[in-house]
Amino acid sequence: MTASQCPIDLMARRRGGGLTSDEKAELDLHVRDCETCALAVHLHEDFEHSGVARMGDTRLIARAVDAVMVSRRLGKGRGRMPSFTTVAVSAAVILALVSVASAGMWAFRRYSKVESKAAAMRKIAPSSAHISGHIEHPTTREAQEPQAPVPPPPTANPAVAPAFERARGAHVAATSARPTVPTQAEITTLFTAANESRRAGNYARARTLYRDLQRRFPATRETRLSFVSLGRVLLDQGAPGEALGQFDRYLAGAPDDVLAAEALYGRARALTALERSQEAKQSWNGLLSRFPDSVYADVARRQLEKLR
Amino acid sequence: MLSIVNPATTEQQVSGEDASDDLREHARLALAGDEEGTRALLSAAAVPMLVVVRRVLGASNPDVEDVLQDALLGLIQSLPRFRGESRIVHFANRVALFTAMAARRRWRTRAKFTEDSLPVDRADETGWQSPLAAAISSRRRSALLRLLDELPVKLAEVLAMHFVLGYTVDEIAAEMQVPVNTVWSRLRLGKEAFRRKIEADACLADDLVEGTA
Repeated sequence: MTASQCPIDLMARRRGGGLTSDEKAELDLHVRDCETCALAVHLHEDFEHSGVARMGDTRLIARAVDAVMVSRRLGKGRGRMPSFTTVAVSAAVILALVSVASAGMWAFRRYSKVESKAAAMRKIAPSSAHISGHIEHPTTREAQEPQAPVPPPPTANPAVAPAFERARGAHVAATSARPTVPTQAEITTLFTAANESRRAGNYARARTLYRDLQRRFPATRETRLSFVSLGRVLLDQGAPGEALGQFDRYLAGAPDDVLAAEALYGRARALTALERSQEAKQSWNGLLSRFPDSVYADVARRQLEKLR
Repeated sequence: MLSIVNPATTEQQVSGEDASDDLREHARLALAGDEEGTRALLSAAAVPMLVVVRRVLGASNPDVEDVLQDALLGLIQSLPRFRGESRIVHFANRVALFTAMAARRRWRTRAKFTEDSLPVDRADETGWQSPLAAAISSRRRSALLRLLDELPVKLAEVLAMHFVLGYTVDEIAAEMQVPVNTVWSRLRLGKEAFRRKIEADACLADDLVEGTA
């Protein structure tokens, strides 16, 4: 049976349920004698059954759409001239921030000068012991005082303290004006940027972004997934110790989650690279027993052979 | 492959009378720069596109979401080139298919120089009678996708649209804007290449043939 006689189109139409009974019979008859077409029929069934909807797809799609909308917005904003109102408002905000920062710096410097003076005064001022006849050497007295960081002490010059407190209060207010609740778009954008850097081979940037994500948004799903992504990058970059930490963090938080096989595989590779043979063997065995049909199964068997 | 089409003309084409294509209105709004329309188009198209991406990468691949995002961006960027000769969903599926295949090619190239960073293809047991059947199916799909990675791009695209998306010859011709005979010819060449590969590679033959007898 040559390829030119194969009813290629019938197979695709069969998938859509568009065959008449005669066409079905024709196809079945052909498939009995043509190995390639028999295989093709199975492949059609394989792909038809794969990629089906899963729990969590709605959220996954929402995240992906959000990320694309954010990217487009950022892309649209670049290269456009801002309006006069935007410029004016931005300038006013910058001016206000600069004023607050300057006031804080002035107050801090003022406070520091006053404190230095006060410290100097304490060195030369007579103590009660001196009055009673005992002269203390200043350096001895300093050495006896505990070394503590210098907060604004309540005994500081009362003329300075309120200004410092005002500046500190302004700083706190400015800080608390920043949003404390991260938006999903922020999380998604950061995760997307990290993944894009990784895929583009920019591993240094990928590492920075993954770490930033993990530090700023520790309790998110993106961070959990990033443990595996960053682990892989670190492993490929020759840092198995750090990589191991990442995989362990994933497995500690979500041992049965979607990337469990990948995390176990990464963990086993990291332990092998670190020459921790006993633990590596346990990891490879664990991977084989939990995911015997995965693409990592053959690799696991080969590694166990080597570790014997 | 497709020339750049005047966006105004494309809007007219997108606004055509195909009542069965319920994404047309969203696509028209997206082309006009309407944000809500764009979001609605992406949200609707993402559902079938996610299926396509999973079929190519494997359902458990951690990069499915990233590649879906790339595909959605690609859909918006290539919408001005849509000629209106097929349904929007077919166009979107094709973008998803080629984005996912390109991602596979990049990983394979990188995997040659790094240690075993294999894409995940854990068997998805949904819809199969047994885990064994699911595992065999998964191996067969992986084997075909590996084969597609090695074929010339034009052949691979046609075979992918045929097997992964299940498109008929007419649908492939409409999508790719090529004559039907060209599609027939590429499918035959692809199947020949397929057959030669199986004959030359015993492991591939085992992966593909196991369970078909």
